[in-house]
Amino acid sequence: MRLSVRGLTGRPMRLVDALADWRAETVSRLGQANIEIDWRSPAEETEQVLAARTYVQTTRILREAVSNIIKHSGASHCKVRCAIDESQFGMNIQDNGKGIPMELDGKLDRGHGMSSMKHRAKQMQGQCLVESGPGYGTVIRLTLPLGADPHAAPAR
Amino acid sequence: MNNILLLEDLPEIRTWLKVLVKQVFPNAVITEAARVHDALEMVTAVKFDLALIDLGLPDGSGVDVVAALRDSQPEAQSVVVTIHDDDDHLFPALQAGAFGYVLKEQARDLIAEQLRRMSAGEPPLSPSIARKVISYFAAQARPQKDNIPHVQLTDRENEVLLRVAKGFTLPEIGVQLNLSRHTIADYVKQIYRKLNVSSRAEAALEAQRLGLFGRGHNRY
Repeated sequence: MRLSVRGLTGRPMRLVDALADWRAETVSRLGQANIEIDWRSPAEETEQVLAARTYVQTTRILREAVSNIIKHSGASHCKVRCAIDESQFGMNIQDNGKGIPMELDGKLDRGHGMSSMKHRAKQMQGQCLVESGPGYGTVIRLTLPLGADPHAAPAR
Repeated sequence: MNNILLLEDLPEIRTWLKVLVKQVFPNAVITEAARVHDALEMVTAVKFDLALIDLGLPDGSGVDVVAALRDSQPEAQSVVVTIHDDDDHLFPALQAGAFGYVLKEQARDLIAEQLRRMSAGEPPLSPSIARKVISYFAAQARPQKDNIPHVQLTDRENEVLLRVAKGFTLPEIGVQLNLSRHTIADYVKQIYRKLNVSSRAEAALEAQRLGLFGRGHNRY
């Protein structure tokens, strides 16, 4: 509910640790809402790190996406796929709900939804694409550059 | 949950928490405090079942209230409520005997669910805290100059910690290890208890060391 401390003063976060945090939060929220969740992220260990701000912003984007699924989508299933390469991190969040009617795009979120997710991604030099349509749910594709932050130093 | 202590200095956040607590425990009697001093006084006068404790308060740290409750009312559950998702703030409170924590940043539905779980005897354990606990006990296990017996985790407790650190939830770990919810919750409670016991032993030792060598040796 308030600005996180980590984002202001925090250290960079190992990507594997960030993925663990995101997984735990997402699985437990969706589980509680009785929405089946299938989360897959790369099994291999990577030493890549995220700048503190990137970690916080990505957490918010994911959290918002999950809130939308719980509150508005009517979905029974959600699929999350994460991919990492040397220069990019990608996360796809897909649900089988009723989709977001485009004319509601602005009204629905009251400044907290899709547009702020896109804005946050842009701030990180990344991209957040939303595809949605009646009958095939919603897919959110988030792509972020890795190692772009000049202040990012390896953790520990 | 009958008697609940709510320690938080900012009035609007205290109100926000109160509404949340009322929603989870409709019949609870909520005692509010805004300062460490007041909360410590209440702890001597009232028996609490649950205490929600903010850490950064105008006249000190909520950790003192966690420790006081741990000493005088061990059956009371202390839950730290904090904005500090950075574990350097949270970890000392867990070492002092907190049974769980809630991050104010977290989604409201998640906080309510965590409070419900805690009241049912299922303490939460986030991946980041699990990682911290793992490195704490790893450091404890290293050979040290003093000869005090160190508290150690069992293989099963370690296994649970490692899986939490990877992002699996406690119910998922229960399924993976073929253990009941209760058994998993007991492991987590044991882990918190051992963390508290070990930290106390460490603190006592450190106090002794300071007494022997005087100032200048305090590395912490």
